[in-house]
Amino acid sequence: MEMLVLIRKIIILIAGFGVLNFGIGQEKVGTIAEEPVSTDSVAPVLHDTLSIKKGSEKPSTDTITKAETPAAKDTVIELEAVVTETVAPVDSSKVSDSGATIELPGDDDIIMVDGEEPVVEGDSLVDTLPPIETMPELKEFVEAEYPEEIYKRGIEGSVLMELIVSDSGIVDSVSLIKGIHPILDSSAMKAARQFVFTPAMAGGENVAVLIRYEYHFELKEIVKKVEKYVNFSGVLIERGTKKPIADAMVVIHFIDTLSDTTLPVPFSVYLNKLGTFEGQYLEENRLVSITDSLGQFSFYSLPLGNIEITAPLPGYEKFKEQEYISADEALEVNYYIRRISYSDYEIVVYGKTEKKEVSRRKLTINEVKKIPGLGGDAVKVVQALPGVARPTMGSGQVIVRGAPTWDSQFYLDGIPIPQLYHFGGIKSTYNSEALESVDFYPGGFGTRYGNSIAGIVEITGRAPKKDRFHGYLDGSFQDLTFLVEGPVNSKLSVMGAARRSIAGDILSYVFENSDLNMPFTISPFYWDYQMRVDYDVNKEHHLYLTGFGSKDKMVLIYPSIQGGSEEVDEFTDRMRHMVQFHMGILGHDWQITDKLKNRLRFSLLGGKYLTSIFGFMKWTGDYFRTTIRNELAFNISEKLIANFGIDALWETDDMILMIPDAFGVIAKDTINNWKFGDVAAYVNFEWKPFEQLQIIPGLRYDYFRELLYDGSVVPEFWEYKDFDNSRGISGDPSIRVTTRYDFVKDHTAKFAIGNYNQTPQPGGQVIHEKWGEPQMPSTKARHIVFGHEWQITDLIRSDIQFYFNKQWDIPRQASRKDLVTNADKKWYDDGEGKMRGLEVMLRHDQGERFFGWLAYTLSLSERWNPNEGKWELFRDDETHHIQALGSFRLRRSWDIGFRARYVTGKPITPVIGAYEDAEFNQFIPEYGDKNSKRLDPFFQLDLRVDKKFVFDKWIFSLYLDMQNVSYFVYKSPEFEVYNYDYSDKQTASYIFFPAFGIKAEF
Amino acid sequence: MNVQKLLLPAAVLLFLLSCGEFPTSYNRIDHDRVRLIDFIYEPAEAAPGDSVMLTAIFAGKEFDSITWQAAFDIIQDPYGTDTALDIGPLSYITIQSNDFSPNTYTATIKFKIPDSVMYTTSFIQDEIVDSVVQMISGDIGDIGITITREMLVYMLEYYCDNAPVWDSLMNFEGLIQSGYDTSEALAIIHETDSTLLANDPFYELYKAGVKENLPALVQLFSIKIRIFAQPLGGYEVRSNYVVRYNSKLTGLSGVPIYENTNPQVGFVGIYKVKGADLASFDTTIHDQEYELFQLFGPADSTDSITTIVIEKGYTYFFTASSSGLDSAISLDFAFQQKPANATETHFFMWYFQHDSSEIEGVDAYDFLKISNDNSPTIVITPPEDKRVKSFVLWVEVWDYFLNEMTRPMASSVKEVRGKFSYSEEF
Repeated sequence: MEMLVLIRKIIILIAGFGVLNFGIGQEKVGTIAEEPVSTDSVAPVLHDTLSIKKGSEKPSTDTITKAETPAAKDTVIELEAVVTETVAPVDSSKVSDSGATIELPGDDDIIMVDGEEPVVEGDSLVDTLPPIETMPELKEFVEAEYPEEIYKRGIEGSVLMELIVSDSGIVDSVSLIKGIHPILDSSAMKAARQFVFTPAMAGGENVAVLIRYEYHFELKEIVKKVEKYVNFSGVLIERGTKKPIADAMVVIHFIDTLSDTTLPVPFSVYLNKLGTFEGQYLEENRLVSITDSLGQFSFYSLPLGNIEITAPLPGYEKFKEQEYISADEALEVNYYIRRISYSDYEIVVYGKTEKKEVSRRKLTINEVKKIPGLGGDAVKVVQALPGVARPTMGSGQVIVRGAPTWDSQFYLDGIPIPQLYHFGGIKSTYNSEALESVDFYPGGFGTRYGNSIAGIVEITGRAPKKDRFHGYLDGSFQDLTFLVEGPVNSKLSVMGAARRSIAGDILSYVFENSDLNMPFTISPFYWDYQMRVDYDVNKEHHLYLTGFGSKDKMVLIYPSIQGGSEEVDEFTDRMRHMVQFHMGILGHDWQITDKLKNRLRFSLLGGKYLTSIFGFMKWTGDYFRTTIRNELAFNISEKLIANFGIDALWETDDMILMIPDAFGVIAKDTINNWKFGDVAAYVNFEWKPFEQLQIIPGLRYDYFRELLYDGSVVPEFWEYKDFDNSRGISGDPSIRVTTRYDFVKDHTAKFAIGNYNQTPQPGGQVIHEKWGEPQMPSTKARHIVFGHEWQITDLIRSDIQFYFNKQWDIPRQASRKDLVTNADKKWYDDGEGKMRGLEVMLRHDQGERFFGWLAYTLSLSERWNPNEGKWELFRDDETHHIQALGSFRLRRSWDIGFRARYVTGKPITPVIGAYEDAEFNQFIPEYGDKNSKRLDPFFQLDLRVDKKFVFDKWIFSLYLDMQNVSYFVYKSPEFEVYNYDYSDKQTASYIFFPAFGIKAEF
Repeated sequence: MNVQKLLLPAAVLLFLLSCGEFPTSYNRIDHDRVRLIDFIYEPAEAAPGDSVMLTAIFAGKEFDSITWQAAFDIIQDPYGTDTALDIGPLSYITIQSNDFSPNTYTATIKFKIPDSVMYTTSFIQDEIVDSVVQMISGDIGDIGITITREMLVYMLEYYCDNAPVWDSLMNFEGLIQSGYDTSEALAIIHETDSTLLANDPFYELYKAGVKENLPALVQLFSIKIRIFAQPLGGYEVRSNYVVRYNSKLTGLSGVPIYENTNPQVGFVGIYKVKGADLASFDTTIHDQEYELFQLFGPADSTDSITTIVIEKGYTYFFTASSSGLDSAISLDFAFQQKPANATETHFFMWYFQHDSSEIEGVDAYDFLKISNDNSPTIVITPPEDKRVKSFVLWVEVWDYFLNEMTRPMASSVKEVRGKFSYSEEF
């Protein structure tokens, strides 16, 4: 009895100092603890029975102090001095594992001890009890059993008990204040009875105390024992391309929560547990995992039953699948998810990359493949750009800013290539699918390029893909193509492609098996191949090797033709043509230091050719070419980069030409080791005095091995008539400067000026001993370009350029008037040209649904006629050239595209009469002023439709490319055709030409 | 041979063009146009100072007069660019001769090649002369003579007019090669010859090797002159004529120099070959059944027939043959002193004309059509309109040989007539 009274006093006293309230996970009353609290030691709570109220009133905020009992490392004990404080109920869900909290008793929890009256404030007993010096600490904790049979009920919560802890620390009695379930209540009480505390002390003596104890039951502990094992895994794969979809969410929605009767705990509890496993998490009752770089995902310990799997992925169609998780075995799946659009998977995202050149147009392969009328040929797409004149009848001419094709140069990875197109324009020799980009410089280009006075087209091969092996097979009435590429290991990747024409085979078959009785047979044929191996030696070194070859061959057999000589060719009944080459390029990129970078390209090329015409003419030969291009870039400072380059080409030709001259004699020329080549060195500096301004001056010197003239020592920007500049070896220096100034955000002003030179064209013929003049000088030019660029939006930009070009020392074949003064001279170097114009381009880069451009060129190109003493229009001059093209991505992998162009008619020399040549039985036209008239304007509309059928592991495509659909409305003239005596004429037009093809890719 | 014409079939094949057929064609002589059938020169080639008879044969529309001009000085480069430097009226005499045929209009004139043309012409380029001089000088060595272009021309003309001297030289050379010494050889040959020999200003050159180079020299010194004919109301006609020394030197002993002569048409006929739409026919290659109908030929061959029945299931061909194949020698062979081992090739040009009364109201696209590939056998597309029956056919044969420098082109024409009749089902 006395003991109980003492207890009561102590309670009252302690209440005066506050309440020890240790709640597992609670910082303060009614809140969640910062740290989990061990159930090993629980500090007791002393009650002020008179002042204790239970309820939901806000706890005092000014009385909380925190003390930590030494015995419980992770125990948070709070002391609360309350007289009228109330205690917020403890949220059992926030309670930590140990599950023990202590609460103050409420109003109806007044402790009655042996029936005595409760102690009230001001009671004398309170005044006489010594203060508590040491609180009881739990030394031995006994876990209450949570019977398995009631796991499934998912009961969680706190059992509130009162414990009397004796002065020896053992629990004398336990009484239930509030329970959650009889079994659990009983279990908690049973366990509490076995607790052992260190006794409380007051007045230097052990004393008994009455405490409240809250035992928290959670299933966490139960589910802790849930095993982690993979019972559902898979791979997300992009349909058609088989590309793994990395970093994608895979979401499981449990549509059946009742099937699994083996769960130890309620489903929701189990699910919560699953959400804690590494590699998956719970979100709104859905289990989520993320695929790795290989597209793989795994889920652990899924409950049995039906689940629904979704994968929300931007750019992909909705995916939903149902599976059944069984106990028998782990489920493994492969999911093929379809992209919304398959044109995107190779997209090159446009960004504002560092630009250096004033006139440069970069095309991504993805864009160019869809332009109608060009057969998906990346190089032919250059013909659709401003500054490029319309070529005749689908030929491969590249007429840049009013200059003929031979004034421009064509490169592959910085190496000149001998043949750009098959048969002069059918298709480019390099497979577009193996290209990374096409760069086109219509003029004003820097010192990197030489031996050209008009434009540059540089195609860049791409490295093979490294993610996995890819390939495709493409067929049309024209040719068959295949390409395969992929990784050998993490450093090495390979690619191989080949193409062979079949049009000639089809033609031969038709001729042989039809009733057509033609007087001749014809079989055109071509093939090409590309191979590439890329090797990442290490971070600093990258190597690649490209093999590239092409062959064109055609035979036209016309048995009734006679008159040729077997001295010339054994086959006098046929015309033969063959051009073939093989080249290899070794590339080495070396990041020497962070400021020094070197790019080397080394190439060997061997080729041969044959042209023979019915025994009247034969031209055969072979050549071997070595090319080196080395560029060393040195970052002198943040504002200055110096580039040093060598650009050298050596070629030796062996040639036999047999051709009748105008005297009827077959001239036979045999040349061995005829040396050609352009050996050049250059330097340029990329200088940025401040961020918005870039100036690139450069100097270059080109030496032409095959020429014998006295080259210049001072760069010529015009023909220096008063100054003798012909002193050096057969070469010429060039100075070129380009400037770009971002004067306002997204606006750039640009300017370029430079002089250029090239070996006189047609190459070889002009300097030939018999057919030409060996002392001919190089042909020279000057470019002046200025313009403005505006990045209107991320995808839309405009480019306006004005150019003023001049050429001189252009080779000119002797005319009738020239023969009068000098019958022996066959070529003159007094040709001149001037070209000027305006180019406007408004371009929309590849977006989600559309790409295209609108281009307009206004130009004038003229040539000086020394005999007539006047300027004449260049044969391919076009005053206006407007071109609009676009490609649209529709749903379900449909693409449609159009290209429309309007061009001023080409200049023609009018026929003003004719006379009859009695010797050769033909009429010969008499011409008016050269290029003094024009054909009617040219208009053409091309359409293209592509459709992709996407299967799990491959994609099948069809395309229909319709050239010149406008033929049915307007027949655009290509050239005039006259009758036999030139008294009547018609206009020949290119007809409507559909081309159909199929492609399978994996 | 114009190489460009040969390339036409291939060029057309390679381009897909839209343009229609013209209602006119080179091979068809329309009644409303003055058309040249042929210029026939006799001889086919001439030397400076020679007279040449030219027969111009026209058909189609009649004309009242014709104006003649000539250019004896032409420049030409190896590419074929040429210009006539001295176009002027041609001095000629008109020869009254029978018209070639009732269906043609003939003008025959006679003109003279200027004596000095070879000295004054610009046709022979200095480049060529220099290389010839160099070549001969190299062969001759230093004999104290400066060889010039004029000297070479003079030498050629000397031998043209003094063939016996050449023969004497040949005899003399033969004796020396047989082992006689100079005096002995001179004693053996005829006194006249030795006199000629002694007076031969080019004897040294001859001894040194001009003889071996003579065949090449005559080719190098071959030039073109140009004749212009302007019939009133018609197109101007231009014709090149080759002037060279072959006709004078062809008889020289021991030297392979050949004269070109006009070929002759020996036969003209029509093949009727079983099988429709055949593109070509050659009896030595093809094995289809056929019949041959003669339009012109030797008296002892197949009977001439002038009416051909056109039937379905058959293809018809005009065919002709020629005679007068001349020997030819390339410039290479000439330099190598080799004799000719080739002959020229004969090509054919075909022209036809319908009866004007039959074609009235008939669409020109329904006329007879023939192919034009210069071969001796060409395919006929009979008229679509059965009213068109009669035809006049001219066959021109001309010769050609590649690699003989500035070789003259010789030709002749044969006119024949015929008629078509059409089977019921045609």
